Amino acid sequence: MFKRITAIVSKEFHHISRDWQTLIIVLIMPVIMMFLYGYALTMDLKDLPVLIVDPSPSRETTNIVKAIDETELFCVAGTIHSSDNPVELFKRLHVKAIFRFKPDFASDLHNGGNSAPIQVLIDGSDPNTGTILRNTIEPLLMNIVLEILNIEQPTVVSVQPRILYNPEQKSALYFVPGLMAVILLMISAMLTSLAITREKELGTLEQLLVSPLRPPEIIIGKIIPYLILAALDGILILLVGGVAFDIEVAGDLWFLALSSSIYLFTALAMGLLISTIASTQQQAMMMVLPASMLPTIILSGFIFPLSSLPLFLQTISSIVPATYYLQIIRGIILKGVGLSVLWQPTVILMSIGLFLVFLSIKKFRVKL
Amino acid sequence: MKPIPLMIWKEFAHIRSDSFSIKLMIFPVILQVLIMGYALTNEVKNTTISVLDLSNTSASRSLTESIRHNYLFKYRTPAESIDEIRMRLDYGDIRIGMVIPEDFSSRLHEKDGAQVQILIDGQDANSSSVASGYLNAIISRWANTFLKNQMEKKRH
Repeated sequence: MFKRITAIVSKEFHHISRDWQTLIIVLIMPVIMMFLYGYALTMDLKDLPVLIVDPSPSRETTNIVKAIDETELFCVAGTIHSSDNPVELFKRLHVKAIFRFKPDFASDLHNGGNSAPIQVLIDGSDPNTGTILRNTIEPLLMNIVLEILNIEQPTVVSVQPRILYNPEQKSALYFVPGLMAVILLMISAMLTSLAITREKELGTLEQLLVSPLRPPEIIIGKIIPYLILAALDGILILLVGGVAFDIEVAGDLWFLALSSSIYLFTALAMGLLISTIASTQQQAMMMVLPASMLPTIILSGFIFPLSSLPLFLQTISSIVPATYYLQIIRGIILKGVGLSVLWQPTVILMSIGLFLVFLSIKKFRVKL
Repeated sequence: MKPIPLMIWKEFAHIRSDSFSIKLMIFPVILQVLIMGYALTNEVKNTTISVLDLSNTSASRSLTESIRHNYLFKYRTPAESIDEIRMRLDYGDIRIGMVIPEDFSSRLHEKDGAQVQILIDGQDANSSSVASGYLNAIISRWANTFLKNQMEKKRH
């Protein structure tokens, strides 16, 4: 039996080596994606342009404006004296916030009796930036004003933050495990389903079936090369991560290999399942993308945190294998924890994998 | 007959007979718009937090309450020890743990003020920095209200 499986494996490797385009995609794309995600994906808020509306400029308002400009967060784009319609200003200029002083601000400030309000209009079209601005402007302005008035603000509470698991806050450390999940899935599910449906399309699968080869041997033979490729890619990602981004695996490498293998089997089973349903390569590709790639990229916690998703999407993400795989390898790489903490996602991942393998074997027998 | 309209008509005839392609044009699109509309957000919501209150005074309780009622955080059961906070962070049960030390209430009136320690799950640098920013803002706001109340009391 093993001789026959080896024959299929070597045949598949021959196919792959002749298809150098796919090979390049498989080996080079992970590296490109790593650099993209590692360096480009950052959502720092800096130098946001803001506008000042000051009907009665005074020493106080000028000082406040200067202090606002000096913060890292803001960059004063300009000062105007009055505005009738501030909303228009947002549309015409590209400012993120407008600070409006009331007329006679300085005298109100020193009078004590009347409070001197500063109105801040915030561009809320990007909810994240809007909320951050709304929460940080009030304490920021208060500090500025108190400093200008030379009132010693007693510190009531000071916060000592301590960041665990990723002390240098490298975004690459967070993305690399997610990237592994995506790439492994892509190779296992997509390429496998494409390979099998290609043979279906060309009619060569039928020829294989009438040969002395038994169906399970054909399947295993076709899967093994992609398993090896996916494993190579996983190692490549970790190596590039270690060299280019200084990523160190805090936990156990064997557990990492084990859990990645479980995930690979799950992904392969998905590819198999899709190849039993699709009759052409095109169909296979169209099915793989929304059924496995999309949930893995969007709903697994790869980029968008699960806690920010609405409840019904969180339910869907609970059946996406990548969700659990991500919990496991982030736990291993970033937190350095082992099976004792991660047993739950591991068991769930195994169950999903076994279920998919069982389903695809059943469908394959029926189809053939 | 004109060749181009004929080709267009022929192509439409092909598409009509290929029900798979038609389905593929409709369903995944609807699905993706729905999913992406809801999922593609970099809002930081429902950050799980647990408070370890070692001070147990009215001040510390008032601070804990202001965090509990804040809509930005998902308040989980209070912790009993630092080890519990570390463990729950490891398990992923909470993303932020806040420790209010014993001397919180007494140090509030001192010059340097009281201290509060927060342990942050820093895996996702972006959302953890946003979440800790929120927490800082909540604590500052509480401190200012507290200060104002104190000054009111002194005036009377």
